[in-house]
Amino acid sequence: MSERGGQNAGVVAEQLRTWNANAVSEVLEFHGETTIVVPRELLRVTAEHCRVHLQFNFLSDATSVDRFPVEPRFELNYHLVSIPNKTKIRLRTRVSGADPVVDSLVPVWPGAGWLEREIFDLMGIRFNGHPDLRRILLPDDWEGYPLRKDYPTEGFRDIPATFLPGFKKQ
Amino acid sequence: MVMASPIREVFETFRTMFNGFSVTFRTMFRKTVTESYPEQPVNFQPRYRGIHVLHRDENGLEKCVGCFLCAAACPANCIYIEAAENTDANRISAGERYASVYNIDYSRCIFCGYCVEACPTDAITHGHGFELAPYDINSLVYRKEQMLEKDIALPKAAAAR
Amino acid sequence: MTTVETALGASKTMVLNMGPQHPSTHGVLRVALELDGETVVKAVPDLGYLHTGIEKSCESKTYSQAITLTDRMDYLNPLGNNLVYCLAVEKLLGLEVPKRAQYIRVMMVELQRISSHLVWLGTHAIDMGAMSVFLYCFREREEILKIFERFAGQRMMTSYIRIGGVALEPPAGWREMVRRFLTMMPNRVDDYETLLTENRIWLSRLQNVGKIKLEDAIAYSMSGPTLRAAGLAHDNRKVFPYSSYEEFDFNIPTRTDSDCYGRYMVRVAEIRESLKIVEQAMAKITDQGPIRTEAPGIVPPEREKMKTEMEALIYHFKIFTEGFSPPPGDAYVAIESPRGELGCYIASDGSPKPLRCHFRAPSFVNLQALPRIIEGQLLADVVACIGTIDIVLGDVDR
Repeated sequence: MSERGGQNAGVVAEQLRTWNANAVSEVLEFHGETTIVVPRELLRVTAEHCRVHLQFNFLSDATSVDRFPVEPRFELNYHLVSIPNKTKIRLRTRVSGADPVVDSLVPVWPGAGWLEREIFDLMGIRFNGHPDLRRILLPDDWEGYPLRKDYPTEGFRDIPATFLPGFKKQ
Repeated sequence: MVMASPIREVFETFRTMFNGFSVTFRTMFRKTVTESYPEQPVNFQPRYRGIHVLHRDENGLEKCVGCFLCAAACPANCIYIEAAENTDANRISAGERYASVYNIDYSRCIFCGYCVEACPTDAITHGHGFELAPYDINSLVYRKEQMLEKDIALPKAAAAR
Repeated sequence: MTTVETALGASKTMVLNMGPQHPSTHGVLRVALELDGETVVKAVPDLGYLHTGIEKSCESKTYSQAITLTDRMDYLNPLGNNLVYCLAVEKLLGLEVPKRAQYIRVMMVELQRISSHLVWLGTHAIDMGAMSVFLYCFREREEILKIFERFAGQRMMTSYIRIGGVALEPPAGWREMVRRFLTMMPNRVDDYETLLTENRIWLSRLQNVGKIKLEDAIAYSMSGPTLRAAGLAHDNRKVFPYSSYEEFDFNIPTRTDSDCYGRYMVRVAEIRESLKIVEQAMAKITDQGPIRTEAPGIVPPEREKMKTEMEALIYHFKIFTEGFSPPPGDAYVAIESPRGELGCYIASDGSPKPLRCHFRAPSFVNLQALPRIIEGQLLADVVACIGTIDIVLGDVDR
C-alpha cells in the first residue's frame, strides 16, 4: 500500500460520502492504509457501489477480528483492490456479539464465497444471502468457533471415557 | 493445436520426441547427484540446525548459567530447566547458578534456532546430529548429559566434583 | 427388457470421491465429483484435512515467535510467508529495514519462487506422465535448498527473515554458490522446455483444458500465474512494490489463452524472470553493511554488543522474555507469492502478542474457482486443472 494508494483512497471516502452520506460512518488512517467504516445495513450496497462505480473490481481479502469483551465485538474487514487505479481500501463493518449477522458479499464478488465461509467457520459470523454457508476448514459437527477470544487456544479437550472415574471395563 | 496436415503432424511429433530423448540421453552421462545416505555420511552446510549441543568453557565448566532465556524464547515450549546454586564445593558453571536439569523434548522441538540466538553465554548451539527417530516417544526427551560436550579434559575444579 | 439403465432409474450420474488420499491432489484435498459418464457435472471441494489452526496459535505467541509458525503454512514458500508476516509487523511498528537486508530478502524470496515453481513443474509433469522432468526439477531444487541451508541452517523451515531484517549475515562463499546456480539454471530450464513445451502429449493434455475467462478470474479473486495466464499483468511486485522491488528490472509474463498450457508457460517464464532478479539482487548486496535495523527493544542487538554493553543485554533479555508491543492498530500487507497474492493482516491491541493474525492464502482463494474451471470437463482433465492452479494444501488449510 503505497503513499499513492493512501491519497486516492481518501478520495474514495469523499466519493462514497457524496453518493450516500450514511455510507461512511468513519474514516481511519493508519500507516497509509485507509479504512472506511460502513454501517452494517449498508455494507452490500456500498461494496456494490465500490465495485461498479469506483472500479474496485478485485476483492483481495475478507477477514474478521474479535475484540472481546468490547462491544460490538466483531469487526469485518474487506480489503478491496482497484486493478485499473492501483489503489487499495479496506471496508470495515462492526457486528455485535448478540446478533452476528451481516449481508453476504457473494452477489458482488463470487470470490467472497469461501472467505466468508472461513469467517463463519472460525469466527461464527453469519452471512445473509450466502449461497452455501457451511463449515469449510473444521468438520461439520464441530462445536464452537475457535477464533473467538473466549475459545481457549488448546481447545476444549475431550477426556476419553476410559480416564473418567467410574469407568468400568466391559 | 490444429495441424495443417497429418504428415506434418507426424513429423512434428517425431521431431519433438527426438529433442526430448536427446535431453534424457545426455543426462545419462552427467555425474549423479544422489547421495547414498545410510552408506555414506550426509554433507551438511556449516549452519545446519540439528540436535543441540551444550558447551563447556575453557576450564571444563558448563557454560549454561541457568538463566531460562532459551526456555522463554522457545516457540514450541520444549525446553525444561531447573536451576540450582553453585557452591565452592560443587562448582558446575562459572556463573552463580547452573542448570541442574536441562531437558529438551525433541518431539516438540522445531529446530528454529531461537534458543541459540537467545543464549547470552553461547552455552547452547545446534550440532549436526539428526538421527532422532526412536520407537518410544518418551526417549525423545533428551537430558543434559546426552547433549553436553564431553571431549574436554577436565581440570581440577571440575574433576573434583 | 430390463437393462442396467432402467434399473437405475432416472439417475444417470455417479459420485466419485477424488482424494483425500490421491497423489494428484498434491496433499489432502478431497473433491467430490458428480460424473455423467466421464464428464464432470458438479464438483464440490472439501478442505480442512490439514487445518492446524496456525492463525489461532499466532495469537498465543509473541510477535517474533510467530515467525516460526508462518514457515509451516505454505511449505513450498516459507521465506515468502516469513516476509509477508515481517512486513506486516514492521508496518505496525513503522520500522524501516536497511537496504542491504531488503536486497537479501528479495534474493531469498526469488530463489524460493524458483524452487516452488520447480516443485510445481515436476509434480505437474509427473501427474501428466512425464517422469524425467520430475527428477530433473527436484535435482535443481536441491541446489536451492542447499543455498538456504547455507544461509539459514535449514532447507525448508528457515525462519530466516525476521522483524527488522534477516536473521544472520550471509555466510562465507555464498556468492560463488548462488553464482554457480545462476550459471547452471538457464540451461536446465531450456532442458525442461525441450522436454515439454512442444511435446505432443503435453500439448494435448494441457491445451484448451481448464479455461477460465478473465472477468471470472477477477470476480473469483484469483491471483498469481493463474490470473496472468488469463491476460492481466497484475503482479504485486510491480503494482504495489514492497522490499525495494521497484529498483529491480523484470517483466511480468502474461498469456491470453488462460488454459493449463498458458499457466505452464507463465510459470516457466517466471523462473527466468526470477533468475534475472536474483542476479540483480546479488549485485546490489554489498559485502559490508547492516542486516537488521537499529530498534532498541524490538530488534535484538548484535551479539558483540550484547556481551559488552549492559544496556544491550537488558534489551536482549527483554525481547526474548516478554517481546515487544506495537501500538494498537492494524496492518494489511500483500506480496506476490509463487501462487499469487499472499496477504497478512495483523491487528494489535498494544500487547506483546497479536490480537489477530490472518493470512490471505493464495491457494485457498484460487482453489475456490476449481468447480467453475472443471465443471463440464473430462475426469482426466481434473488432475491437470488442480495441478495448474498450483495449490499447496498447507496453505489452503493453514
